[in-house]
Amino acid sequence: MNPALWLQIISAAISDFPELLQGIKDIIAAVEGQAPAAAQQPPLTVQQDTQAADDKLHALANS
Amino acid sequence: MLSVTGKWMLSTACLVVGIAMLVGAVAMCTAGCSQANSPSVDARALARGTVETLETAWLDAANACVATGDPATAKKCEAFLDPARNALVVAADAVNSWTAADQSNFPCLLAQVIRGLSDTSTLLSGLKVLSDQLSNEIQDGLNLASAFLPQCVAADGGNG
Repeated sequence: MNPALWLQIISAAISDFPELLQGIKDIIAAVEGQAPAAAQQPPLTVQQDTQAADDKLHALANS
Repeated sequence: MLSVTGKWMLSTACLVVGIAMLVGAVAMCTAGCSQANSPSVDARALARGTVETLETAWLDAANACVATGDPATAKKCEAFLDPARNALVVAADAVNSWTAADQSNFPCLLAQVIRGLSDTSTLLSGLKVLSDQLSNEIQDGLNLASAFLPQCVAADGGNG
């Protein structure tokens, strides 16, 4: 192959590399940006959830 | 034997490939390696999971106490589980609001819950009515809480 053509190919690869790198960075940023924000969780309701068991425990303890 | 031009082309190609591999490795590490080496866990999510696990353990502990049908045992359980429940309710409220003050109080609330559950576990174990499931739940809760508990020791100078 013509050395001049090789040189052209290599030059193109070098000059395109920042663009390629930027593309990778863009993809990473897009993936991170599109990740769904933490879903709003319903509040914890420990007091209500444990009330019935607590009542039973007190009832037996005081029987 | 390669000509001078051939050698130049070969070394340039090697250089380009080398640079490409190096930059690629750096780019991939930026994207993934740091996460793989040090997984970051959201503190609030961990706190929520810890409270939910401890709630399950508390419920099963209370039910196990009731299942004995013995008022004296229930009275002893009550002494351990009442403060544990009170702390667990406040810890749950702390997770719900998760202010700076909540985050500061949270570790010692967990410590109180763990203490009550551990005492109940010891009581039930002595009565030979501690199930493997309850034991595992308490252990799971302790394992999760262990991420926060050292902060309680630090906050009270190790006297808590």
